Amino acid sequence: MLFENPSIPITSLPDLSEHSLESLSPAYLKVSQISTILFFSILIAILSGIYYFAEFSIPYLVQWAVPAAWLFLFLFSLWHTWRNFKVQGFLVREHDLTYRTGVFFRKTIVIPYNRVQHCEVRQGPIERQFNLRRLEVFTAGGESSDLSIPGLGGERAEQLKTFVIEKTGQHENN
Amino acid sequence: MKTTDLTPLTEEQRQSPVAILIIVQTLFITIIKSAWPVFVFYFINPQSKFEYFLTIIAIGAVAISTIGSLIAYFNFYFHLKENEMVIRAGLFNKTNRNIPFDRIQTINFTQTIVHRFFNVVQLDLDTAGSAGNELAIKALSKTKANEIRNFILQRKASQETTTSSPHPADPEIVVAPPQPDKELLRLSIVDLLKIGVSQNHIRTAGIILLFLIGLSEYAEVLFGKEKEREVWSVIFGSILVITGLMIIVLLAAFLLTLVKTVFRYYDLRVTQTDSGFNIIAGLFTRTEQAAPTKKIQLVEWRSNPVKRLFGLYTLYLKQASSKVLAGKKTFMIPGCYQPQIDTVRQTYFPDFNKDDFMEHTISSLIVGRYTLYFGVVPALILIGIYIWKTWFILLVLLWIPLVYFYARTWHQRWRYALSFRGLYYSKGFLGQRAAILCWEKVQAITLHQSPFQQRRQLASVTFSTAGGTLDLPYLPLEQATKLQDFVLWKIETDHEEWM
Repeated sequence: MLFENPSIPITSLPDLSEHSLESLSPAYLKVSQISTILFFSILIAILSGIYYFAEFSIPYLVQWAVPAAWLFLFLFSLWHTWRNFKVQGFLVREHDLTYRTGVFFRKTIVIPYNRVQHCEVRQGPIERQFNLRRLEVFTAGGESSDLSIPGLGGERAEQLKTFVIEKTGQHENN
Repeated sequence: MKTTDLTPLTEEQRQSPVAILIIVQTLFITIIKSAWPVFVFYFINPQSKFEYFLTIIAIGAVAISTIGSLIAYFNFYFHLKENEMVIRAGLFNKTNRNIPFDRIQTINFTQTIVHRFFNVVQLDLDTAGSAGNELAIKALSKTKANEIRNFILQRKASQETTTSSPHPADPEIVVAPPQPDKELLRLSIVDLLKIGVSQNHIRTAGIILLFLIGLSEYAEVLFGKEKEREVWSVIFGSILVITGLMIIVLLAAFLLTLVKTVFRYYDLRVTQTDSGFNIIAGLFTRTEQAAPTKKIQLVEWRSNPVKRLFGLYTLYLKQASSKVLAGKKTFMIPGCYQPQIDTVRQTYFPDFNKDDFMEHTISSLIVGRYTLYFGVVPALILIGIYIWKTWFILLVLLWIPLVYFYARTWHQRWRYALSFRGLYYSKGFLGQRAAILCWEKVQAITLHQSPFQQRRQLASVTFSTAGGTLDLPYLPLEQATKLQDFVLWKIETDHEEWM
């Protein structure tokens, strides 16, 4: 029991955990894996450059430890994006918007529509190839309370944005 | 176009001529600040014609700042319209800015020593949300500044009553005559000394030490490598000197904070007005700051062991404000007593009654985690590294029970209480930190779970407000989700405004 106040029917409140979250578009897994591969390719290119042009001798241990670390981190990141994709999800309810992310450190953020300041739809170069967009929702609470849902396919992001703005407007008029 | 106190506010006008002096001062300081490496260079290099360059720089700085400030002064006009303030400024890049009154969040007065000498004030207007929309009028006579503030506040008030009034058949809205401001707190010299004594001296000592280290680098430049080593070996030759130096540093830190406190908070006065709170303080630079009630998002108060002895608290009223002015958004009272906290709490959370709240504790599993992360892990790492060198390192193991004791006490003191309208918490090992939050101020709710928390069915809850965040760590998952559901329901069904 959270507080003693018989007038609040705590058990009858809308329960967030009852709903299952909507997962992101499957193409988003590809997008995040491609960006992981790109990032690690650039990293290995820089490393190879250093190894090739280095005018100082690199200790034997470092010569092998660095590529090994690179390989481990690369595989780990690929696995991590895949696992995170399974966790990532969002939920659109009558009065609020929820987003969940994080494999190890899980984070679930909920923003009620009547606290939304503005919304944006964004698209990166890789996302454009797969026709994906991300919806960003901002509140007055600063960075800790801003929400960004990636991997929304086709018209979904725009639809969602229109929906959120409409809902926010309704609250303002009430 | 002359500016006197008699010029009506609705006519275009310039600032008080004192503004020229103020702008000269700021420009001069900026120029000197950006030129200081040159000084250092010529000072160190004995062959240079130091005086010669000094004169050039000084003359240049004076000339540039004088011309710049004259241009700035003669090209800056402002006037008030029915619903907005209009600014016209700039010589080459002309800007016309209209600032609607309903966008203005706070109106603050600042006085530096120059302002005080001429009996003028600087007027700062802060608009929320949009960055770069803040405005400062460098110098205005006090009467004029007050006139502007009253004009804007009155228009704002009448706008709000007309827009929020649901009955247009009620055209005669009686605006209550402004109540005389009530003095909430006035710090005496004794209070100031108490505050100064209970400030964080360790921080000041750190700054002094850093300064000394910085000086030691200069010593290398000044005396040359060889001599420097000699000098330092003499200075640090005896332990006695080091201890003496430490005592001097601590004493200096103590005195410095004491003096700083007196200068900064001299004759501090907090008044309660119709719309919120006002604070004014300072010996040389008197700063005035306002916190309108509806802008206060979160109220927090802290004390440390010394402050506790005096019954003193530091009180923070966390306000919603634009990002640029993030530093100014917290209204801080450096020292106050329980009655002031009660008054502020009553304003922020009307009809506060402890009986409406139900107290809870956070999960005791946090004690084990804390001991593991800050006790066991660092101790084992240290032992792992140094065990090959000396067995004495095993003494580090004593650190673990210490951390455990700290964590257990800290956990026992952690209390939070929930009611239908809000939440308060209190925590701290030797000191105390407490805060109160109204649910309608919440912008977003975040649940965090570390791997351990996922295994043990726990979660940390973060409430984000426009004035900062409030965290409840290590709640049972079921309680955390219930709390989240409830607060969401409360925000979504209640149409209470957060600002």
